[in-house]
Amino acid sequence: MGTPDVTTLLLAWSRGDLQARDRLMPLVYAELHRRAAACLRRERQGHTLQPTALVNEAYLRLVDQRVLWQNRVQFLAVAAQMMRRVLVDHARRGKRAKRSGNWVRVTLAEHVAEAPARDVQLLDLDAALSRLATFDPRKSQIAELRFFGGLSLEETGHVLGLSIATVEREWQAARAWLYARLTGGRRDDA
Amino acid sequence: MTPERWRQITEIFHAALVRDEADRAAFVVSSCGDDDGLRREVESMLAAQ
Repeated sequence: MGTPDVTTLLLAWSRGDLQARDRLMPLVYAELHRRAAACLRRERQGHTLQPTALVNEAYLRLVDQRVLWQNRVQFLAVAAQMMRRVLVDHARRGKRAKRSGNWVRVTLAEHVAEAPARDVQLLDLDAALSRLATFDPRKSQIAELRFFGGLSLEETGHVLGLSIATVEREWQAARAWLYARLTGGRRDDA
Repeated sequence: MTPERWRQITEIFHAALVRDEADRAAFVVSSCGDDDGLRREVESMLAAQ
C-alpha cells in the first residue's frame, strides 16, 4: 500500500499535529468518493444516497476500531465535510455533462424514531446550508455534521465545544429552516 | 437575512414550540404583530418541524 495509515494520522492529529489532519483529508475524500461512485453506479435510476451510511462504512474500513471515542468523533467530523464535498462535486460534474438522471438525491436519516427519513436534492441542500452559514455559521455546521456525518447531539457538542442542550436547540431551528426551504418551496425573500 | 432578523425568528420559533400545539398559531400571530414576513418565516419553520 505505502499510503499513510488513517488511524496513525488520526492519533497524531489528536495530539495536535495539524499536518496529520491535512494528510488525512484526501484519504478520507478518496474512500468516500469510491463508495459514493459505487453506489451511484448500482442505482442508475433515481440516485438516492445515504451519506451517513457511507461515512460509517468508511470509518469501519479505514480506522482501527480500538481508537478512543474522541478519535472516532474526530474522524466522523472530517468525513462529514468530505462527504458533502464528494457529493457536490459529483452532482456538479453530472450537471455539466448534461447526463439526465444525474441529480443526486440524498436521504437525510435523523435517527429520530418519529421523524421519517426525507429525500432531498443534494445541490439544493448544499445551497441552503451555504446560505444558512452566511447568517448563522454554527447552525450550518451543526446541520452538516448531523446530515452528512451522522453525528449524535452529544458528538456534535463535543466537536463544537457546546452543551447537548445548546446543540439540540440550534439543531431544531436549523433543521426547520432548511426543511422549510427544501420541501416547502419557500425561497429567500428576506 | 440579517443576524438580528434571524434572532427574532428563532426566538419566536422556540417560544412557540414550548406552547401547546393548539395555541401556537395564535401565539405566532400576536408575537409578530403586523410583520407578515416575520410571521410567514416562523410559520414555515413550524410547519417543517
